Amino acid sequence: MKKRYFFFLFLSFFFLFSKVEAIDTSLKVYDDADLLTDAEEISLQEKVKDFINTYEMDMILVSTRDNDFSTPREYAIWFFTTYHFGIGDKEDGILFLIDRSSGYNDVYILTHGEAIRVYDDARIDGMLDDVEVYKGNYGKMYEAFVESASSYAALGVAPSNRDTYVNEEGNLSPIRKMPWLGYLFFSLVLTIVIMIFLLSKHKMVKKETRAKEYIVQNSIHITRQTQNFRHTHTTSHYIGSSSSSGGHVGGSSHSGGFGGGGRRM
Amino acid sequence: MKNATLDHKCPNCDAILKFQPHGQNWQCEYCRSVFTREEIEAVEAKKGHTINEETKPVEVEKNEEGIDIYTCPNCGAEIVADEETSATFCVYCGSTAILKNRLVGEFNPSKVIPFHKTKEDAQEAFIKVGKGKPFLPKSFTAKENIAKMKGVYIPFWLYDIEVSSSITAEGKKIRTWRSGDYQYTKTDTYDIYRDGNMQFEKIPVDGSTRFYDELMNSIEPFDYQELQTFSPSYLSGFYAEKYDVESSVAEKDARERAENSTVDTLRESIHGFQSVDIEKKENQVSVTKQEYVLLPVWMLNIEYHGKRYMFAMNGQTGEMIGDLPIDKKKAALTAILLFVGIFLGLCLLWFFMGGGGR
Repeated sequence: MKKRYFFFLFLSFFFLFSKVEAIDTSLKVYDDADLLTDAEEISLQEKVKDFINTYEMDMILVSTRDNDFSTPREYAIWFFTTYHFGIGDKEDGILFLIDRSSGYNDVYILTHGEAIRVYDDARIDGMLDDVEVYKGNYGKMYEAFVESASSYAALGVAPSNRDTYVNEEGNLSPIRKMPWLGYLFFSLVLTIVIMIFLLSKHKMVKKETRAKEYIVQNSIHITRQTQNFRHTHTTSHYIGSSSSSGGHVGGSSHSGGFGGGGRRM
Repeated sequence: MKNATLDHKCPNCDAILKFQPHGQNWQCEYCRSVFTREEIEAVEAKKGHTINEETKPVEVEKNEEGIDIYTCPNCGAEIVADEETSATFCVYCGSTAILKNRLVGEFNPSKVIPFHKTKEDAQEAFIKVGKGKPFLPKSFTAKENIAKMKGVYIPFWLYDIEVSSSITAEGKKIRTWRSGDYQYTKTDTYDIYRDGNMQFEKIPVDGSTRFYDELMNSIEPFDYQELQTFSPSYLSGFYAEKYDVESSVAEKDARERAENSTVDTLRESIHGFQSVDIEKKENQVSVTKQEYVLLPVWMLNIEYHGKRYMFAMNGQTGEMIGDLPIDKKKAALTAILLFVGIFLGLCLLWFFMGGGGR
C-alpha cells in the first residue's frame, strides 16, 4: 500500500514538472528519427504545403525513435492532438508516421475529421503499398505517401463512405436517409385503413342471423356436456442454441475520432 | 257501393281524431280534446262499431283499371289504395282512411305496438344519422327530403320457438415447451359433445315484401312489453300495410335465427381448448306460437343519382338505420388529402428527429 502511494506521488511530480517540447506547427515535417536529409525535408515541406492549400486538409509527416506508447497509432494520436493539428471545425488532417523505436519501420497513417471519409481502409492500404515500394528509402517513402494521398484527395470522399458523415465525437456515422418508399407505403396503408373506417360508417344495414335477444330467461338447458380424449401428438423442431456473441472486430481503423492503418515494413 | 272506411271522429266536434305518440292518446286536431283508448272504445261502442268483431265482407268496387276504390270519411273523395295498404291518407283533405275490409279475418292483427316517436323525432334522428359522415352528399339531408318521412305500421310475424340441439366438435389442447435446442408441441385432441334445448319468444320477421328484411332486422329489437290488443284507432294518422308474406314462408328466417343462437350457446359452453371445430350439428325446431302484429316504423325513401335509399326508424325506440350514399368526389378528395397529409407529417417528423444525420 505504501509503495503504491509513493509511486503515484512520483508520477504526479513527474508530469507536473515535465514539459511537452514546443514545436513549430507550420513546418508539417518532423523528422525526430533523422531519417531525411535537409533537402528532402525542405522538398517535402513544400509538397505538404501544396497539399494543404489544395485540399484544405492538414498533413503532417513524422518520424521517431522514441515511442513510449505501446503502438505507433497511439504515438500518432498523441502527436496530432498534443500539437493541435487539423484544419477547420472538424480538425481535418492526415498524419504519416515512421516509427523506428522497435528497430523496424513501423509505418502508420492516421486520419482525423473529413480525412476519415476520404481515406477508407482500401485507400490506406493502397497508400501503404505505394510507400512500401520504397522501403528503406525514407525520402522516397514520404514522397510516395504525399503523392498517393494527393491522388486520393483529388477523388474526394471514398465510395465506401459516401453515406456517412463525421459526427461530433469525430467518428463516422451513417447518414440517415429518409425512407421515402417506406413512408409512401405506410401512408398508403394508413389512408386505406382510415377510408375503410369512414366508409363503413355509411353502411348500417345488416342481416340478422341470430336471435339472442329473444331467448326466454332460464330456458337454456344443457343436457349433455362430455368430452372424450381421442389421441395425442407431439412434434419437435430444432431451434438451436442462443445466438453467439459473434465476436467483436476491433475497430482499430475507426475509433475515438481517428481513422487509419499501418504495417511493419 | 264504395268500400267504407273506418274513422275515429271527435265526439265533441266530429273532426278526425289522430293518435299522438308522445301522449299515447288521441287528440282532436280541431278542438284539441284528448281521449284515452277506453274513452274511444266507449264512444265507438255507443255508435255500434265493434272494432274487433268479424264483419261481413264488403263489396269491393273496382275502377276501370281494376284498382280498389274507397271513400274518404271526411270529404267523400275517392281514395285509391293498393292491395297491401290497410290505412292511408286522403290526397285531397289529408285525413286518415282506415280500410276496414283489409283488417278482417286472417288480416286482423292480434296486437300492435303504438308509435312512441313523432315525425319530428324521426326527422331529427335522420339528420343526426347524417352527422359525422364526411362523404354524405350535402343535399341528402335537405328539408324537402326529410319532409317525405312516413309513419307506417309494418306487418310482422312473431314466433315462439323451441330448439333442441346436439353438436359434436373436435377440441384441441396445445402445449409448447423448450428443452435444450428443441421446441416441443404437444396436441391433445378430444371429441366434444353438447346437447341442449332453449326457448325463444317473439322472434320477429317482417311480413311485407315492400320492406327488405335486412332493414327491418336492423331496427330491432322492439319492446314487447308495449304490445297492445289491436285497435284500428292506433292507425289513425299513419299508414299501415297488411302482410303479403305467408307465415309458413316467413317462419324459415325465424327458425334459422333460433337454430344459430342455440348452436352458439352450446359452443360457448365449451371451455379449455385452444381450438374448437364443430363437426356435426343436429337441430329439432318447433314453432309453438305465431302471431300477426303491426309494429311502428318511420320510413323514408330518397332517390339519389338514380339509386333508391331506404331509411327506417323504429317508431318505438327511435333506432334509425339506413345505408347512406357516398359522394365519390368527396371521398376521392379526402383520400388524396389524407395520403399527402400523412406522408408530409412523416417527413416532418423525420426532420425534427434529426434526420439526415446532421
